[in-house]
Amino acid sequence: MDDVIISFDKVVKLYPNGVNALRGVSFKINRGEFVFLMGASGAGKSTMLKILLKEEDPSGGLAMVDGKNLKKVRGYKIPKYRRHIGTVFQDFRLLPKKTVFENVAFAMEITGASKRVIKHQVETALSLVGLSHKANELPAHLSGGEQQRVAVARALVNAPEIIIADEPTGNLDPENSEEIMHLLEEINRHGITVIVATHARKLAEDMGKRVIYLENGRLKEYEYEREDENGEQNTNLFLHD
Amino acid sequence: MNKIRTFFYMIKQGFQNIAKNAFMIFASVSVIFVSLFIIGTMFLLSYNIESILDDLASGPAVVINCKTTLSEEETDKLQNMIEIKDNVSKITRISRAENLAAMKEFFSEQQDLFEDYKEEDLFVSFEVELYDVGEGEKFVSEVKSMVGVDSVRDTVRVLKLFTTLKKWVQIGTVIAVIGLGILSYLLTSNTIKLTVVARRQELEIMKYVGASSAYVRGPFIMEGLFIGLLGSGLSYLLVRLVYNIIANYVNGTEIGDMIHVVPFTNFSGTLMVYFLIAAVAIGVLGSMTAIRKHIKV
Repeated sequence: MDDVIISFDKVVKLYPNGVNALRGVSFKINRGEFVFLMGASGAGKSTMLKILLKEEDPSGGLAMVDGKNLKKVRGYKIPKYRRHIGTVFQDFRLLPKKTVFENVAFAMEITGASKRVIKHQVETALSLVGLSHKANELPAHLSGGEQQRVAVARALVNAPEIIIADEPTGNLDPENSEEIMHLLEEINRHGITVIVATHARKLAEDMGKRVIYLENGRLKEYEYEREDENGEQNTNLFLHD
Repeated sequence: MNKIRTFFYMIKQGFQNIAKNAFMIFASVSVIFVSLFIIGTMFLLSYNIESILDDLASGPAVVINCKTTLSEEETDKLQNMIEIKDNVSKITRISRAENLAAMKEFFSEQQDLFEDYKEEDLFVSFEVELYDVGEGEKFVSEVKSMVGVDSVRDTVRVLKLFTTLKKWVQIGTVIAVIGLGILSYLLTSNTIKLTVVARRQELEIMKYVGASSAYVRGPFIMEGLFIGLLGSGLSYLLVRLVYNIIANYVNGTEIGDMIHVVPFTNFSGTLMVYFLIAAVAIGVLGSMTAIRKHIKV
C-alpha cells in the first residue's frame, strides 16, 4: 500500500468570480500522519478542504487521495468516496432533535448498515470519545466540548481512513480545545490520517506536528520530517516564493 | 439488503416530511385537485362534442330534394351539376320508390296516410357528403338556386357550430393544461422547497457523511409523488361522480334523445392514465426542481 494518502501537485483553484484561491500548491501527506493546515482567513484552507471533500474540483494541477485523481471521481461515486473521510466542523453540526446515539448512528444509517452493526459501531465510537454514558442525551444538554466529541464520534463511526477537522476548537475554551486535540491525537494513533485546519498556531506548535501553512493561496512553509542522505531525521523548511 | 433498507427509509422520511408540512401539502393537493378537475371536465366535454360530431357526420351533411315534376333526364343532369362541385366528397341518389318506402317505414303506425301515394307523387333525393363542412353554407346556397331543386335540408350549421365549439374547448383545454399545470407544478415545487429548507442542516450533514444522491433526494421525490397522486386521485373520483350525475340527468330528459352522452366507462381508462401521468409529472418534476436548486450533493 502506498505511504502517501494525499498529494497535491501544483493545484490551482480559480473560482468563476475571479478569486484565485490556490496558486499552484504542492504537498504530500502520508498515511497515518497528523497534519495541521494553517493560514489566515482567505488563505485557501477552506478551498483545500473543499477539494479534499470533493465539493470543488481543482482548476489545474493534480489532487490525489488514496490513489484517486479527485477530478476523475464521478458524481455518483462522490458519496462512497466521502465515506472514507470523517468530517468535524467548528459548529459541531449535530441534529438538535436527535440524541447523541442517533446523531452518531445517522452517519451509518445512510450507508444502509443493519441495526445490529450500527449499534455496535456507535457504542464503540462513543466509548472512544468517552461519551457512552451520554448516549441518550440531546445535544442541547451537553457542553461544547462534549458536543464536539459527539461530532468526532460521528466522523469516526464509518471507520474512515482520513479525518478532516475544520477549526474543531474554534468554539471551545482552551481546556476543551486541548481535550479535543488529544482525542484527535488518540484517533491518529489508531492509524487514521488526521488533518486539522486551524487558526490556533500555538495549539499546533504545542503538539509538535507538521504544519502546512497557506498564505494567499500559496504554500508558505512546508515543514517536513525526512531522512537526509546520511539516514538522519531532519526537519526541513521549504519556503515557496 | 442495503437497497431495501434505503428504499424503506425513503418512504418513511417521505411520510415524515408530509406530516411536518401538512398545511402546504394540503394547499398543493388542493390546487392539483382543482386544476385536474377543470382539465378533466374540459377533456370530457371535448370527448362528448367529438362524439356528437361523429354522430352528425355519420349522416349526410346535405339532403337535396328534387321537384316531383323532374324527369329522369333532368334529374341526371342535376346530379351531374352537383357532383362536379369541388366540395362534394360523395353523392347518393335516393329514388322515388326508396323515398316512399322510407316514409312508409317512418310513419309505420299511420299506414293509411300513404294508401293513395304512388312513386310519381314523391321526389328523387341526393344525399351529399362534403369535404369541408365549413364551406357547407356556400354549397347549400348554390344548390338552392339550381333549377329543379325543391328543398334542401342540411346539418351544416349544426356541424359548424359543434366544430367551432370543439375548437374552442380544445384551445381552452390546452390553455388549462399549460396554465394550471404550471401553477400546480410551481406550488408543488415550493411546498417541497419548504421541507428542504426545514431540513437543510440534516441534508448538509448527510452530504458530508456520504449519503448517496438517491438517499438524500428520495424522500422529497416520494413527497412530490404523494402530492401528485392524492390530488389527481381525488380529482378523478370527483370528475367521475359529477359526470355520472350529469349523464344520468341528461339521459333522462328530451335532450338525451337528441344528444348521446358517452358513458364514463368509455374513457375511464384513458382519463385514469392521463391523471396518473399528470400526477407523476407534477409531483416528480416539482420535487426534482426543488431538490436541484437546493440540494447539491
